[in-house]
Amino acid sequence: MNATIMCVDDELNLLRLYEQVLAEDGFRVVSARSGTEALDKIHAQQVDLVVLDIKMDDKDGLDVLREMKMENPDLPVILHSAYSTYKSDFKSWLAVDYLVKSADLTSLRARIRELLGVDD
Amino acid sequence: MCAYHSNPTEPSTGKFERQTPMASAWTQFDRIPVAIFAANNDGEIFYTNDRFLQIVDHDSSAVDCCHGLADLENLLSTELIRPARQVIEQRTTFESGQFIFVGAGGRYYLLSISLSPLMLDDTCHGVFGILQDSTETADASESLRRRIKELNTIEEISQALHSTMKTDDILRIILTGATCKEGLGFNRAFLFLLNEGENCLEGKMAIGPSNAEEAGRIWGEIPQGNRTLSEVLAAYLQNVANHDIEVNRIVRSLKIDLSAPTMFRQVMESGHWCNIDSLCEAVVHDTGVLQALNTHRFAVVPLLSRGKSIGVILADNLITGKQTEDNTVHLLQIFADHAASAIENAGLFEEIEVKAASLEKANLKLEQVQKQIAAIEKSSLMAEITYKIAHELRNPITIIGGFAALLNRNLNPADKSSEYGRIIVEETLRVEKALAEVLNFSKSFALDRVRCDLWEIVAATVDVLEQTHSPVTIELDPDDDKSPLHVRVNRDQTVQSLHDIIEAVGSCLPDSTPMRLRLGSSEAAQRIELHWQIEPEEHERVTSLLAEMLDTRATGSSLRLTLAFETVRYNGGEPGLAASAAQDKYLFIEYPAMEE
Repeated sequence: MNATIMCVDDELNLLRLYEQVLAEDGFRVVSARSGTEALDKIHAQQVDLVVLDIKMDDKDGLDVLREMKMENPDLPVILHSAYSTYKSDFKSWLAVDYLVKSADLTSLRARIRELLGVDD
Repeated sequence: MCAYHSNPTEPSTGKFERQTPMASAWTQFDRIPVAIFAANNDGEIFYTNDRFLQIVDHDSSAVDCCHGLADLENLLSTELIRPARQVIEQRTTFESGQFIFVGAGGRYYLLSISLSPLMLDDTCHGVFGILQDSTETADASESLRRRIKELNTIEEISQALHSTMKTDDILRIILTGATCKEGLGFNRAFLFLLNEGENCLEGKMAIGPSNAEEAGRIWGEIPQGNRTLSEVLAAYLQNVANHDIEVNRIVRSLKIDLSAPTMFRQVMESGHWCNIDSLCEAVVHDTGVLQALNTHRFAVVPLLSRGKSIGVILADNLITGKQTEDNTVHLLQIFADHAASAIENAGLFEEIEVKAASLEKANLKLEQVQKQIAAIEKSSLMAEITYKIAHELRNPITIIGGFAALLNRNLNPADKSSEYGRIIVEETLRVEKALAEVLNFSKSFALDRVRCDLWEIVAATVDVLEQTHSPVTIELDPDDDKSPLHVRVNRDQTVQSLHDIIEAVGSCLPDSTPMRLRLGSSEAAQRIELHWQIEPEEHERVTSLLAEMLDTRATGSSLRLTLAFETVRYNGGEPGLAASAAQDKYLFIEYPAMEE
């Protein structure tokens, strides 16, 4: 069974890119355009990994991360942000990794595969 | 001594025994302090009182032969007969002018005579004379005149001393006032000031001729005529360079040791002046100085300021040989007291001037720093805006690049569109890299400048180069003095900028060219120099590349290096290109030295 990855970002086109790329890599993708939507959806279905933006309109990604980890401490979450400065925020340390957004998605894809134990 | 009284109507019985009108009345004049005499109509003196005899000298033969007005006229050498006759005939009074009479023992009197008719029952019986002695009044007047002149002199010198705050001018005023005839009139004056560190008096300045020939020349140049002391001082100060070269040379070569029991030390310690009339035991320890000054009769006065001696003035009359009176030395002391205060005030003023200049410099620096802060704040704001914009751009670039990569993966590599997709991906990644650099630069603009040692910054930079396996080879000069070189910068920015500059310079040099870092300081700046040695044929190319890098208008240099140089500038530094003595080019960065 394919692993399910939840992508959380308020940029619609970015979500579409994730959906496309990760689907090509063989994953099922669940998208959420806000922190609230992500928390709602994660209760409704099984998610194996979360790719989470930080700076979003309704809810800060770091707060969403904290709530997700309270619900499910073992859930791997990758913070994926345009900002590198949140790395020094201790709240971001709950995440399994912190990657800065780039047009080159190689790193993100490699890290997801690694965390989900999927061979290249 | 007793006056003789006689009646002028009766025959005379002695040399002063004449017939006396109102005989009983004359006794009341005997002891009054005014000299009185009376003569009859024939000019025979018939009455003189005690004071009269005192003046014309009772015991001398002069008085013995003073029987009549004619005798008195001869004795006093002033006209009496004619005025007496006039007084008797016209019943008027007569007042003589003042005349000098030399009495017994050569004593001088300043006298005047008043004559009035001696009237009794409307009949004139002779003349009544008063010999008025104005000697003491004249002495007092002369003394007063002298005192007024002295006060004027002191006032003028005091005014002159307050007209300037320059120590040299004050010293000249002091010595000119002591030597000019409108002042104290000494021939020469020498000024010594205390050097507390060496416990000695140092000769500072002198005025006056060193010998008679020079005196003739110097004094001959002084315009004649009545001039005030102020005018003399002004004239002297204007022409000071032409005078007194020899005495100045002498006095400046002199140092008087105050640990020896010298007369100078005694004057300094006691605060009392001395007036030496001849070389004696008192000055046995001072002979060296006195010989150098060629003086043996002189006065020395202490310069007293707030109860402390700060030096002495030595004044003499070498040329005229005139003896110095104690009064004049006393006046010189009063004069020296004013001078001492003026010297001290000038010292304080000069100190204030130095402090004011330092304050002005500090204000200027503060102004520059404020401008710099304003510039940095402005830059910081721009950096913040840049930071936000860069983030806003990152999402769309990720999307564009991501989709381009995705598209590219699905295209046939032989297809032309695949080539375009690859270009889009590459260019997107390049923009992304530039954005990263802009972000690194802008986020570092926290204004946390702290005191840093350039040696520590260089060491940290070399560490970074080593840890990142940089291809450049960097060496530190082992012979350099490692004294701290403090600057006020943002440490991380400075390390980053130095790292980037070294790498950029390294990229211009032929492979494996070692670079050497040298550090040093000048008065106002701390300096890092980056040296290298290359083949002569490479010089032009490398210099041209480096000059282009440093040109802020150039558009060809990399964003990273531009940011590195801007970072240096924002931290108060300035990069530049220079040539060594051997004409090898090197790059330097100067930061303002931080005051300890």
